[in-house]
Amino acid sequence: LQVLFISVDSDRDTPEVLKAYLASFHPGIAALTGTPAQIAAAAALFEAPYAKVPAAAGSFTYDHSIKVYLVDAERHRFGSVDLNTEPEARLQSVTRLLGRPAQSG
Amino acid sequence: MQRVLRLWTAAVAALGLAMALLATPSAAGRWDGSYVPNVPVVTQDGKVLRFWDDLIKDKIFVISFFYTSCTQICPLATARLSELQSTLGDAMGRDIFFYTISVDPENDTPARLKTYAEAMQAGPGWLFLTGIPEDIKAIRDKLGDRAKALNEHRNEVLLGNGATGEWQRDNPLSDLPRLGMTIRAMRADWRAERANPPRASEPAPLANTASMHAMFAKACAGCHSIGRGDRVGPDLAGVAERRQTDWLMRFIANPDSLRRQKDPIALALMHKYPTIRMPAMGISEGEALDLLAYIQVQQPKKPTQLSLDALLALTTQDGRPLSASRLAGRPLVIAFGYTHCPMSVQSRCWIGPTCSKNWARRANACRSYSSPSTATEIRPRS
Repeated sequence: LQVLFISVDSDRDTPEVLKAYLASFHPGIAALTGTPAQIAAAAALFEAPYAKVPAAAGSFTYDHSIKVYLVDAERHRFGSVDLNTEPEARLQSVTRLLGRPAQSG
Repeated sequence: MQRVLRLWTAAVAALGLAMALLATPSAAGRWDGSYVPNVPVVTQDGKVLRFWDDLIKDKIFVISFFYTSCTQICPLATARLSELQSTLGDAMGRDIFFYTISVDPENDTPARLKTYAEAMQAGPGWLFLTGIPEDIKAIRDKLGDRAKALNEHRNEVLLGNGATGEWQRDNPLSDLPRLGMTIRAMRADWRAERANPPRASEPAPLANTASMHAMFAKACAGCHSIGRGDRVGPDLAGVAERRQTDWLMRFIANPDSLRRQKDPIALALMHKYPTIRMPAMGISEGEALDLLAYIQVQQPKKPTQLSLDALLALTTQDGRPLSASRLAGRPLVIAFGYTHCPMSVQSRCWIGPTCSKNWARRANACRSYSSPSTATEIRPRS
């Protein structure tokens, strides 16, 4: 299993920032950033909506999808889970994802 | 085994005698209670019923003849009834009954019938019947099936409405929707449907596949689905990928010959589907090839593979491009977010069923979230 965290904030999330952020999480997770166009392309792959939202004093936040997208080893979409999914159901989805045998041909 | 057989035959015989003593002759008339024998028959569950009183008199029914060890047309004809059963839905067992009667009552015990019925996925209202040989013979004689040899029995079905005395013959290998409609038309208040047949829900096949569509429906669909799971036999979706084409051609054209040659795949299939063996359907190897092409067109498309190039273009926390080997052969779990997302406004960072204020203003975007088909309406902004 490979967990990827893709930042939608290309302005502030430099590799260094991401590295510091990841120190709080499981070491197997990879964080990714890129140019706005690269991030848009990655988000488009999952049809994951996000948008920059201006905040006070020239700052900004992002609205972004709360979905966590699952892709099986054969690169087929395997649905998604989100924060509204019950923890057991989330675990079940990921377990099924892991249990899906690689198909030949 | 032989002893058990004799025992149940004796039990049925005793019952038959008791019933014969009770029977009262009814007014003469064709295809009514004075014509159709009211002999005892035994179902696949071992229940003893009287043929006229319990099964015919006030029922709408489809009668077919078969025997469990038949390797020729019976399995195909019976599988067609299995398919017909599923098109009749709730009416089965309530308004319409199937009686599949063994012409080999010496060998077809209720237990054997039960195994066969289960292989045919018989639902409520479908009875497989046996009985003492003289009684079964009486039924066959009266219903016009007088063949001597087992494999010469009639493969037509008899449709009837016991209450009105209407009986007719039909062909179980013919067009199933029409057959279903004919059966429903046995009841007066359903006849209106026949005058206005419902439009077929499936789109008509293209002209060039129409003949294969017909052949599949006639020869295969009784036992096999394409992508809807195993039935009497295996699901045929992906069969061309699972097996060699020349093997398929030979097996479809002559399954018995491969079984005789102890072909390992044919034997494995026989082991997996022990009750009903695929009969030879009179399909040539050339036609088999056309059928395989037809199956490939009909089978559900595999989900498209995602191209992960867009991910490989991104940069990791180590400042390097994401390497393809890190993703190779592994399932992926992918989340979007940003490190500056303030916990205090966390609920506003997410676009969820509880849309943030920002998204609520753009109501369309909120709807897009809950409806994946329109999710692409949202263009990611940089």
